Amino acid sequence: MEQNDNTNNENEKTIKNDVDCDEVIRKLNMILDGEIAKEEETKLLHHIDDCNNCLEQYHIEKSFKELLKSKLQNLSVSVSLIQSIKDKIKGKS
Amino acid sequence: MKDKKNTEHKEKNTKDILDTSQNNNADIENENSDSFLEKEIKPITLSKEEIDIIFEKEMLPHINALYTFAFRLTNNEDDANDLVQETYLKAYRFFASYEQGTNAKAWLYRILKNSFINNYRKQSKEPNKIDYEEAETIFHSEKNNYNPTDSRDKVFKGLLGDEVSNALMALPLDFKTVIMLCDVEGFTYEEIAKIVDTPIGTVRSRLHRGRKMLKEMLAKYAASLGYDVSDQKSENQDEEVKNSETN
Repeated sequence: MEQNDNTNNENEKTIKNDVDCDEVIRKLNMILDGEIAKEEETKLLHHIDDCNNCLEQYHIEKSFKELLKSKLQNLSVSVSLIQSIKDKIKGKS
Repeated sequence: MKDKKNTEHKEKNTKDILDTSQNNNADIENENSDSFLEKEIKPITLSKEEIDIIFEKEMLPHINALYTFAFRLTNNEDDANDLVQETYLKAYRFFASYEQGTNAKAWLYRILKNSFINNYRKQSKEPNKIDYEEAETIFHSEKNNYNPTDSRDKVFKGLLGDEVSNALMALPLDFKTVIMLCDVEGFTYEEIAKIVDTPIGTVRSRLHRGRKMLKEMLAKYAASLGYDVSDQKSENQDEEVKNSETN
């Protein structure tokens, strides 16, 4: 691997399309949450495609997010609650 | 007319709208965290019929999502029902402070979240004052022979919805809130920041730490069920996120 371990030093960046692994790892959640601007996201995803370590972390985070979404489905309220709210609102002027 | 309406709101607040509350002498605190509703109030030109239609079309369809949020906050069906009803009645009463065309769902979540905090404050249960360092220390204090990044599919594959839901509900309030808002409901960081009233950087770090705690709990649970949780290499993501929080 080209990536040095535990490197926070800007000068020792492993340059892949102007992006280093530290930056990618730090922004993984933001990528998955759709919080990165398109242009930057393209660059980061390009790096991820080329870097085994980042790709692995990306998949771990991605499947965890999907797990939460799929296991935490919405519940349903009772019909009586909806009716009760509607009745209370109707009675207000 | 606007002033008269506001005065009425305050007078009726506890007995009319908050008929679910157990405590009547918490008006001041009540106003504190609902004050955004009064601050943002604008003159309203719609008739009751028009308001009712908009309310039914834009507000009521979110009721299942709101109930789910309420249930995961209170862990109790009756409390969740009360909280949802309180939220909708407040939303109706303060309809003038809703800016039409903006995200109705986010607005309702904000009302619900504030109502929840209010009610707990009244009951002096105060779940929102948690020492995060302490919470994290507790999570790390037990000797873990797994790594939080072990969240591969195979580790969690056997987990059921209830188990994930229970783990989520065991998280400290501020962490489970952002996870529900982001991972389950898909709100943007900006919307979440508004709902929970914190800077975006705080939302980001709570998400990161909350997910990490949740992964640890689920990995531990999965391990207890005998799923394979083998040692993985570690990484120093936390340090980096902490460093980036100040940006």
